[in-house]
Parts: sequence; structure tokens; C-alpha cells
Amino acid sequence: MGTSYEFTDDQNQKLATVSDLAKALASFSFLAGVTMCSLFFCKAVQVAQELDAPPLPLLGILLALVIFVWIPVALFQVVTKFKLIIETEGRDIEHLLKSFELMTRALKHSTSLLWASLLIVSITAAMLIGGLG
Amino acid sequence: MSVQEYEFSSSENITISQLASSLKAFSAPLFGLAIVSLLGSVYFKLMTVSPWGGAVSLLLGLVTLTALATGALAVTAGNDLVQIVKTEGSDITHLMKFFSRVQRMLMLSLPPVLAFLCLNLALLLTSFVQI
Repeated sequence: MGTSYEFTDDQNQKLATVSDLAKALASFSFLAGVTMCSLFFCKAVQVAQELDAPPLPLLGILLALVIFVWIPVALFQVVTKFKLIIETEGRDIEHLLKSFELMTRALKHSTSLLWASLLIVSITAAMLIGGLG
Repeated sequence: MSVQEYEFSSSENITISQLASSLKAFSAPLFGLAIVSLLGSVYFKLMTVSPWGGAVSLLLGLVTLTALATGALAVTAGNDLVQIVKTEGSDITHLMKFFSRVQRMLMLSLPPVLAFLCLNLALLLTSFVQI
């Protein structure tokens, strides 16, 4: 089977909508991540003098960086490749598969980072709750 | 309107299968995050009395919503991709269904992210005013 499929105008419209939405989500997530990092940084400064203070604000920064900053950046890269399907002609399937490959790689990295963050936060929270109890 | 069909080759199907698997694998830590942040939200709501406790509880509640929406997106989109690989003769139809699903789920994910952003900005401004 050849790779000379060209998406129709309606299909391109759908792809453009998905692409715009993904870009909007990535942008707002990135902004939310940056503000969340700033927020946790302010809290970290406030508790800096307390020697026994738990490292929760710093963990918050780590989580915000992973979930709301790194993932949107990866999503942006995918959207950029994805846009080529709409903007170019004659190589739609090739561009589609390349964006799929990029998305697979980004998802694999995101999955590992999310599991690691989740594990660290769960252990810290359990220790914190145990310590308070 | 009839849709011109295209059948993905075996090697192309491998790429699509890998994406479907990655999407499903991605949903697992997101659901885990939703559970952990929900527990955290309940804990902060019930166990703390400071204004920060309430704000953190709300933040974690929003993280729960966002993680659930994104996790559901990953699972349903992954299933649509599996259909492209498993069936023959309607690959483009399944592909467009996949994109429709992604579009719906992205729209669902936007409000919690926007609310999360607004809340973060409000808390940040409050922090600066206090300083």
C-alpha cells in the first residue's frame, strides 16, 4: 500500500482543531506549571528557617516541573510536527506517522517521570503523616 | 460524504500499536496521581485549619480532575488506535474517530487546567501581598 493519501479539507479542519486545542492546553498547562513553581518557591522561602520543615514545597516544584512544564513542552513538539500534515501536501501519512513516533517517545518519558514523581510524593506524604501521627 | 479509504501497512501499524500502548501505559500513572491527589485533598481538608491547608486541598482536587480527564483521554484514544490495527477497510474512519475523541477529551481537560491556572495566579498574588 502506498503512502500517497491526502487528507480532505474536512479532515484537515478536524486535525487543525485538535492541533489548536492541544496547543492551547499545552500553553495553559505550561503557565499553570510556572505559576505553581513560583507558588511553591514562595512557600519554600517562608519555611526555609524552620529546620524540621518537611520538603513538601520543593517536591511541589518537582511535580509541577514534571507534570505541568515538561509534558506541555513535549506536547508542543508533537503539535509542531502534526501541523505539517495540514500545512503540506503529498506526504500526509509520513508526517502523521512521524508525529505518532514523537508522541510515543514523549509519552514513554512522561510515564516514567510520572511514576517516579508519584512514588517520591507518596513516600514523603506517608512519612509526613506517620510523623504527625 | 464518502471517505476515501487508506489501509495502513504492517510497519505503519507497528507505529500505531506502539502509540496505542504508550497511551494506555500513560493513563496508569495519571490514575495513580488522581488517587494520591484525591487522598491528599481529603487529608488537607480534614486535618489542617490554616488557610494554606484549604488552598492546597483545592489545588489537589483540581490535580485529581485534570489527571482523571487526561487518563480517560489516553485510554479511549488508545482503544481507537487499536481498532485501526485490528480492522481492515476503515482505517481512516477509525483515525478520524480517534481525533474526534482526542478533541472531546482536550476540551474536557481545558476547564480544570484554566481553573488551576487562575487559582495559582490568585494564590501567587496573595503571597506577594503578604510578603
